Amino acid sequence: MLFLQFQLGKDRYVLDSANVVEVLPLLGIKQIPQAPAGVAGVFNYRGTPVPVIDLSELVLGRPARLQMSTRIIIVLYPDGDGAQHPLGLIAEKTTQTLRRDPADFRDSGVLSHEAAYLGPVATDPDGLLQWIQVAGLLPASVRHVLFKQALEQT
Amino acid sequence: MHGDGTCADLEEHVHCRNCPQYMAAASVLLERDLPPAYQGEWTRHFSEEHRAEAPDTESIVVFRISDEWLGLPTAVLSEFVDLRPIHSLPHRRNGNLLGLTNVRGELLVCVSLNNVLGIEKQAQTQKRRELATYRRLVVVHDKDSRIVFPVDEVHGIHRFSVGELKDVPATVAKGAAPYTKAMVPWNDRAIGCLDDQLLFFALNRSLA
Repeated sequence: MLFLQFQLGKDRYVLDSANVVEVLPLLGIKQIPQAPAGVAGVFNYRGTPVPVIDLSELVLGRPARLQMSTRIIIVLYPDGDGAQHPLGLIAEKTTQTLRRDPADFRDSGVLSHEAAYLGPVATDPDGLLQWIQVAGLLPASVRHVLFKQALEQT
Repeated sequence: MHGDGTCADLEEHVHCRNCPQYMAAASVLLERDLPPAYQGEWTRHFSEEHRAEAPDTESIVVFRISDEWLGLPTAVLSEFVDLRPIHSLPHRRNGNLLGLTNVRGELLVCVSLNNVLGIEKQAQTQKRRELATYRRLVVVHDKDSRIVFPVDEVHGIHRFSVGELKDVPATVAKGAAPYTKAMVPWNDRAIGCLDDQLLFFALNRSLA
């Protein structure tokens, strides 16, 4: 199985590449005033406004560094009602993919309801990799703000 | 490969560029600040709607005869050659036929498109004489014959999608109209795209 690897702080995380639509360079994002924490804003993705989550802000509480290796990962986010929406994730050091057997990933032993996106972990010579589950990324309130309202307006 | 080839990892990776250490070093290059205008440029790039290349494009050779810009499908073009002597043929002076000319050792029939299309020769003003350096001979071919005609200027090859084609307006010079298949927009003007089959038919008939 192919995974896309990125970093949050010093730790490495992976996303299932099947969730990934495209990886974009760090482009300009329009900020949304009074948006929930972690929501970086909205940008124009080929004519459609797509919300962007700053993973660094969401997980570590500090915005992602403005560097060439910081990129926007476009994923398809299931909104819980059967529909999927494109969602941008700002992630640092998004520079490589790797192949791992999904069976290598084991439960980390720490479960958090706050951070439902944190999945099982796998080991390699450089340390641990943690699998990020796209579906659990957003708390219901944020999900509502980003997608439901857009639907109600249309 | 770098160095003297004694690296123990070479056995496994064959070349430095396959080595994970090399890859890690390369990714450090991306650990730098964004250049100015980087974000703006990418924002503009991705804000444009994804347009698929128009699948059915055609191309024409664009050239000028007197004041008329005309096009011929590129498929019938053999080559452009410099002006060279055209030897007239005795007793063959119907106007369409200019004579024979030598192209790479082959004697080819040279015709006057001005005459065929009914385009009047412009008076040789000062400006025209300066432009005389652009004159070329165009060699075209159909299934079994090659024909040469002089033009006053060659632009080159222009590619367009079939959807851009427009019908021939009634105001096109009367003589050229029967041979004009469609109009192609080009540089703020429209050029007449000649019907190669019809043109060859007319030329061959007038030469017979």
